[in-house]
Amino acid sequence: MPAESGFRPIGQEGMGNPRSKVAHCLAWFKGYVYLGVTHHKGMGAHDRARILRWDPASGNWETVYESPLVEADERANPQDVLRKGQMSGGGRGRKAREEVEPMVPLYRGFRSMLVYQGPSDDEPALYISSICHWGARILRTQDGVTFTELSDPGLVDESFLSFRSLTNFNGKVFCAPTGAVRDGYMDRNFAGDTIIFVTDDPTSNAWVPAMEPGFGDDTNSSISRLVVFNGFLYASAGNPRKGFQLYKTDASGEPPYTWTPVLTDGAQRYNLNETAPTMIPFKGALYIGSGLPGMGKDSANDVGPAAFELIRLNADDSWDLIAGEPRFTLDGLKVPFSCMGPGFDDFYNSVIWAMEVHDGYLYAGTHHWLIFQAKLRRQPEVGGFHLWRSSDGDNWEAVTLDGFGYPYEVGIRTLLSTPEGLVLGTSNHMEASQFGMRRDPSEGEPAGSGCQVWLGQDL
Amino acid sequence: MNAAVRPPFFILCPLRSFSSLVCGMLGQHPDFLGLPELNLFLDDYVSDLHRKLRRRGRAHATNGVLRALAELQFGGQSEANVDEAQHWLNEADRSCQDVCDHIIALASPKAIIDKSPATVMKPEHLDRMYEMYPDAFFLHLTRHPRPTCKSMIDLVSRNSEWGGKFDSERMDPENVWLQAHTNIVEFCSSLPLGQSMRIQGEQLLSNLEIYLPQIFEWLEARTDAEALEEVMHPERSPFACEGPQNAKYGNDPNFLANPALRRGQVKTSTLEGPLDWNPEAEFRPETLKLAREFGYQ
Repeated sequence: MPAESGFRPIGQEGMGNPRSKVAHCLAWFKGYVYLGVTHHKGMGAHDRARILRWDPASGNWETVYESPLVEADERANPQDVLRKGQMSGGGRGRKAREEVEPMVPLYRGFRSMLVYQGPSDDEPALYISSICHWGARILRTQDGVTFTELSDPGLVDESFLSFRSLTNFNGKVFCAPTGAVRDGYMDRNFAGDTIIFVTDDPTSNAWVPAMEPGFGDDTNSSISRLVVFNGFLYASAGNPRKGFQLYKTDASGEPPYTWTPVLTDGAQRYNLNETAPTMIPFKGALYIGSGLPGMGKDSANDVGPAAFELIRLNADDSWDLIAGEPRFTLDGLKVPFSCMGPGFDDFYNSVIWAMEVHDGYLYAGTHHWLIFQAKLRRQPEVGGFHLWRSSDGDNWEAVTLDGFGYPYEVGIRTLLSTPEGLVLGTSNHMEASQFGMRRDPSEGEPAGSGCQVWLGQDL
Repeated sequence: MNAAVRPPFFILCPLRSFSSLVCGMLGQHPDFLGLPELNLFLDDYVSDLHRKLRRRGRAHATNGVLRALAELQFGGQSEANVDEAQHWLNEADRSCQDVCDHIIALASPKAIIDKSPATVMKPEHLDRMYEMYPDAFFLHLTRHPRPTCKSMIDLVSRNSEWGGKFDSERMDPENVWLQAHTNIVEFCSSLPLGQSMRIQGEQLLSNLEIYLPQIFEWLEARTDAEALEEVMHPERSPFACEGPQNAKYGNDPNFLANPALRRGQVKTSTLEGPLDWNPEAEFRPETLKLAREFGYQ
């Protein structure tokens, strides 16, 4: 770790469970850092998703919620469409198949958190969306230690795997289903239905569609992100055929609301800008990070590989290219203001997974997949997420280009500005260190497994 | 930028991609000169190259360089001047680079534009071009694969050598499209950021007011109304007509017969469905993947 970076680890190796590979969502609530962790699979009791909280005073982590267990059925371990044909192992080094235990976690992860005070809340409460193979649900805690399940499975459809972007806009709560489990297959990113739900009161279980399905385009595959900017709610839709689309609404009147297209065709990079999973306002503009899943390649839809772009949407809905491919567009010549190409000039940066504003800087955390290739090619262990920052949106400086020295911390899954500093949660793929080796699942996780959480102070 | 040192500009695309029209238009800009197809990156020496082309029945592929020399060096595209140009090429064992450098010097202070589709069919041709002109600008021009393939079939069907009938055993137009664009994408991905740019021919020709200023801004050339007005008149190019009997071509025959710009929306097509020239088949996955990356549906 570069000493000058100001970051130090406050949680490692999954904070007590090395199978907790993804520090997925963060919130600042009642003076604590709340963290939802996610497991890649839900094979047994050891894959129970947890909500933890970190006490800045003591520096300790405490598990405040753990998923209940349910009897395993055919939905417990579906085939992952993204990994079909990718990273499948095979040959002599193939990993022995892990068996599903009789009891498996209802929730194998948590994807989104929102601190919100609705009509049924006496004070701001913490709302959390789960990742669940039997239909994701919304949970709430008012005191920070007691959690209540609020919604029906999947809100309206039990195939919905999770919900992204719990978002408060004009007093209403919005969310978007992400991923699906259907017919023995799991798609982690695309729900098949491109829809946003809205409710006046998330405790009521009365969620209704906030948009026409797919924004009227059946090639849209999922909503990737919701964000409030400039008096509007913006939604990005992933589209493997044409590239992401961006819409906005003022959410006036009754749902479904009227949405206006802002960007189409992946900002005219087409489907190499398949999704825009990160958006954040900064100094009067909206910054949009694009990307492709996994190793920069959507193998289910045969798109990529490609690295992400960073785009700036101005208040008048004009846009600038900050990092990416120079191109001719219907909106004029776009040349990257940062003078950097896709992936901040790094092909292995497949997606901007998280952005956050902290102390006058915009931070962008990436997913970087070089370590997978290095291991497959038996090359030295190099890789790790990148963290960049900018005070003006144009000029960017690297905070780390190697996951703070941990090559198997492949991505920054979440960033949160808190009064204590900037908190960063990682995605860990330590299992990649054993590519090509025959392993018995009973051996447990390799050393160094499990997500990390870092705190940056005096940056 | 000093116009005297403006680097050459190459349009990269397979045949039947609007390249004659686009080269003819862009080449009318006061800072540029659009040339017929030089085909100078297919070999190291002109004698070897022309021998090879004649052996393959493609002697017409030498027309472009002869017309360019006749026009720029010998005072016009007469049969006699084409003979002079041929003599000049033959009198010494000239390298393709020497000849291209010579044409560039003759065109100066204008920068040349070349769009020889044969260049993109092999990576070594593209590499040779880059080795010769590492500072050049490269425009990757695309066209939807379906009309491109149909146009290829139309062209070869009218070729007397084919007896008026397309023979799928002799040519797979989809493979020509795919191979050419794969080569171009790979080549351009190796270049520094901004040295190459891609544009859909359909978008360009349907939205000239939007895209032409961008292209010349990228090329660091004039974008004033006077310059852009010249671009609207490809028919004014000295190469926008058939040449003399001993060098008639050097460009798409359709363009040479009717070089004027016809304004309007250029129709696009669909990637879905059976191929017009082979109803038993549809586009291959590799073609669909690349076409979608170019923005085609």
